[in-house]
Amino acid sequence: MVSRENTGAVDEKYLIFSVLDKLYALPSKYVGEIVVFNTVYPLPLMPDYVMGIINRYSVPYVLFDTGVLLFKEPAHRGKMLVIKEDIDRIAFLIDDIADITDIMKTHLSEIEQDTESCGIADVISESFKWNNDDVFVLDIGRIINRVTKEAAG
Amino acid sequence: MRFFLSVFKNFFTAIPISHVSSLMLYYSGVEKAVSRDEETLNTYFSLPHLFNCPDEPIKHGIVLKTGGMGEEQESVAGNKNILLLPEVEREDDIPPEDIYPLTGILLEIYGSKSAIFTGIRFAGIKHDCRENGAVMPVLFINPEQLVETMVYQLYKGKI
Repeated sequence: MVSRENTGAVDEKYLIFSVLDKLYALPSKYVGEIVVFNTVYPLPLMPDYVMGIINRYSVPYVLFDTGVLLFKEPAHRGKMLVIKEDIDRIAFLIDDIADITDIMKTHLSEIEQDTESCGIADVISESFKWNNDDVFVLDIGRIINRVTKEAAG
Repeated sequence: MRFFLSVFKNFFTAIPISHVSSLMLYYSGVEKAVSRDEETLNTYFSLPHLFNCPDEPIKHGIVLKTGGMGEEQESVAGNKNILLLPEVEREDDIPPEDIYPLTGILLEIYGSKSAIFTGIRFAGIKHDCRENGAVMPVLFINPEQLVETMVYQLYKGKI
């Protein structure tokens, strides 16, 4: 009998959320908590897609305005998706949570990184279909690369 | 460790008192991030200009020790580095364990300017006049790195 793991059809849990009425996702293993939008402290010398920092148990987390990051348009101030601290102290501003669902690896379509511009492909890596909608998977590594690239420029 | 806390609109900056020679009132206008007084040979570094908030009213100047941290090397009038700041509201004792170093994504965001900041802190700092006494974060400054970075930025034409 061939196991599902050997066929590459392993399920991974994804948290699906909306930003400016479009759907995005992150592997749920990266998500630490989801909190209602609260006080944000702007800091100097931040790029426009960083709203500032938020206070999570006296630890500063950088809050990305996901709308500005993706479309140069501010997102609704709905909820904040806080990434686990061992990945980085990052949070994303989102409209709301849509679902948590298992997606098979074979159902993911890879998106090639755009090396030329700071476009949407710079921050997403994969997509999948969910309830007849396209869902784009944010890539935290690509987001950090973009930040590094822009800070160096 | 003791710090002078200067209040900006959304945050405080903290300058370690160990690096400070004196605190002065500052009444003159400031138009540039870095300016030099050719008479006194003092150099003025405007933090509101560096932080892209030039409308913050400058009220105080912090005269840095000529030899950096510790005892002042010489006592000459002029030829000083002076940090221009909005109101220095108070001095405070903040233990090092209460200061979070800038790590990960914050270092990436600040890039070459990250050396200016030695850390950040939320808790315990209230500013009564703004946002109904809301707690604002404190950015801890390394004065020597700040001066070095601002001179470099000026040289590169970035400020």
